[in-house]
Amino acid sequence: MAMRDKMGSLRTPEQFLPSTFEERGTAVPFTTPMYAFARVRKDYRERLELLVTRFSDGAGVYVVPWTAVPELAQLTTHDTVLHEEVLQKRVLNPYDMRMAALVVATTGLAGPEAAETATKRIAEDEESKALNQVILILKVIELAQREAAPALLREILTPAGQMRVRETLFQIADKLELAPDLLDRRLSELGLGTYPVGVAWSPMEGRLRGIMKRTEEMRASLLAWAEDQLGEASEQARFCAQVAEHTLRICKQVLVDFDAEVANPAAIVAVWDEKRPVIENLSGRLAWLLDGWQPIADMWLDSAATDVGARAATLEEMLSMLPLLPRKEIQGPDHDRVAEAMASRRRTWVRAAEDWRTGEVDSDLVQRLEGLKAKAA
Amino acid sequence: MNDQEMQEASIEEISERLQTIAEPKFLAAVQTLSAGAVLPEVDRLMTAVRPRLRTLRPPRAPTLKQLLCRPFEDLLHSGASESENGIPRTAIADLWPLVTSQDPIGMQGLNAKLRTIFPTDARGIQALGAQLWRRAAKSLGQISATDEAARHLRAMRDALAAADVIEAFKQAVPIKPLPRIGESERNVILETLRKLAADSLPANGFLLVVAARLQSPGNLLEALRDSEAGVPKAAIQGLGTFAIARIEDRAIRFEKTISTARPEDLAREAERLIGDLATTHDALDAKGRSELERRTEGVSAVVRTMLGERIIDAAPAAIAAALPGPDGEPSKENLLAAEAHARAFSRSRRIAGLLGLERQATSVAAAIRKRFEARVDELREQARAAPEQNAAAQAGIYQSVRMVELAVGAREAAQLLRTARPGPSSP
Repeated sequence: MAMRDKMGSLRTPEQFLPSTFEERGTAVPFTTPMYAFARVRKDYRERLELLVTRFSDGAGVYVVPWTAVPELAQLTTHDTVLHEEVLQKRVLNPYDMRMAALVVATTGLAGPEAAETATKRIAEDEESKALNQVILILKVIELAQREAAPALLREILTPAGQMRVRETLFQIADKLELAPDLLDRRLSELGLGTYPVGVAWSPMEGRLRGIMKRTEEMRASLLAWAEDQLGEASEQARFCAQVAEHTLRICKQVLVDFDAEVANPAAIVAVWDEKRPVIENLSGRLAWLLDGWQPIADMWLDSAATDVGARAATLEEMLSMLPLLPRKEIQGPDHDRVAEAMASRRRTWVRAAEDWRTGEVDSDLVQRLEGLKAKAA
Repeated sequence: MNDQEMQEASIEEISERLQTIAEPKFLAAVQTLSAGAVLPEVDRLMTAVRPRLRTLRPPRAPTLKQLLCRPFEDLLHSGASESENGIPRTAIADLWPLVTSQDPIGMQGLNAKLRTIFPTDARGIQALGAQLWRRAAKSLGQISATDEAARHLRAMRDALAAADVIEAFKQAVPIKPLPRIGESERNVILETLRKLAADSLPANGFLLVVAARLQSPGNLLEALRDSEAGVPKAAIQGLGTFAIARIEDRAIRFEKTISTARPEDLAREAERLIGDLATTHDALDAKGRSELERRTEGVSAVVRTMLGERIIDAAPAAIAAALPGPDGEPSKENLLAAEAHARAFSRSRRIAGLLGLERQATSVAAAIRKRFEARVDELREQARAAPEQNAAAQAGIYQSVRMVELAVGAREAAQLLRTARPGPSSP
């Protein structure tokens, strides 16, 4: 375990922020209270390590080698399996973490509701991939052969319609000077690279767009609630809203860039080798920006019917898991103000989990964490 | 049916009607009730409709009367006047005329000003409240210190005199109920006590409000006992009386819900009640302890019987619902019910020792563990005999591991998981 930073007073608040997403780590949906809201990343020797905030009173982040995680606290059985999964597959980014978490949740070790949701989400993912693919193909056809598109759209679900789509794609491949199977493969890769975000013209909202929307809903709700409150609760709500706002501002710009890049899939596939890293980078960046926000948004929005005291307790829990923006993402005239607020103010609010001191399992917290899984996107 | 019964029946009918009428009519009815006279019947109706009101949360500015009560609203209860569990809502009927009659013009002025403040202008409302509380504390003047009938008025006066610091405390520590007093809360409390002492203001109003906002009022006694806060003995005694009354009230409510509440809720409340009893007992002086024991005599026995019968003895059958039955695999609802009981059982084990139920609980835990270990062995055998059913067997194994985790413990479940799996591999 790394030593706590004793040089705090000589550093600027900003220097407590991670500099990149990889340094911030990927949120691990553990249900063991001590490791709730912790993040995994690799160290300078490429070994996995876990960043834990719940046994420090906001004074810093504890770094635990991944292999030592089960030794420091008794993991729930769900977490035992997730821990192994992350280790074996070296899960280090939000996409892979989501899949790992869903697969483990299907075991039922986090409860039947989490298992049901996970099974549903995995199926929805496949549907989303398939729909995204169809939408891209139809867009390519529309852009390349506008007059053919409406008829093909009507018939696409029929075997004959699908045959005609293939024929049309062959013609387009020819025009693009690509072999048909190459076009097919590139469209498939484009589909895989874009489906988590979803294309702008899709009738079905992409998962990451949905998380953005939910986070925006949370932000607006926090500000409205903060207006009615005074003191600590109001400050904390505004702070959470501020962090969400900065994150969403960057997300919106990334989305604009993404939508601009993907607007013409026919053009993209022609220069796919050049475009692929750009699109994957934008999609990946959005996933990193939104990593950890969905459970926070769910916690807040689901607490709407509770009273001030209970909401204040929810806020405090949210603060301990708030995904702070890495240093390199904080830009513009607000830089100093945002960096200072994020790094130093949150540290005064985060409490340690009592359970590590008493050794008793906080079974209410375990149940709440499992409940978040049952809602996971 | 006598008059009392007829009245109860009418209130119940009205209450039911209020729960089902359309939102706008409901909100209008509540507004009328809130602005009207403070009567026990009205109070009972408001208590019944509060859950629905909370979900609708219309933005509304408080009335002057509500604002007046804000510093001690955590102490208000709907129980009998004799209860030492805070301040009965009916006492507001005595307070209001005393406050308004002293300075009717001033109060009218404040009321008019309140109507101009936007409902969401928390700062504006608070600022006006501060003026109101100062006036009210002054209006209450000299209330007899020994007149039992004036007990509630004294409590309200003391809270109003300390209103600024009480409101500041609520803003600094907004969580309610606060599960425990941590370092930062303790500092706020001690700092506030120092300020009250420096301003020669009574501490008891503030202390009672803090206690009312805690999950266990005994925590405050504990925190003050360990500090050098120099709190007057009378205030500590008042706090002790309040803590005892709260536990007594809680125990009565607990007993009433035994036959209808879910096992998980019963176990949670039982754990808190017993924990509260233990904390408060340790924090009181000898006289307080004796009073606590007298007033809560029988509580432990009631909890013991409930835990023993409804949770511990019932656990094997309730948890076995997670196993396949004559109709095949358990439904999701059966699984959830089995899990809920498993959690209740696990929670009951935390206080079983205090109630003389440890041996019984340990024996039941061992039986549950054995049952699910046998199930895991069955499934492993099935998978060996018919590999094509491996996935179904694996699902059953995980389910059994989970039940052991919830009912017996994570350590035992981890051992079972290790024996059931060949080694670290994908689920």
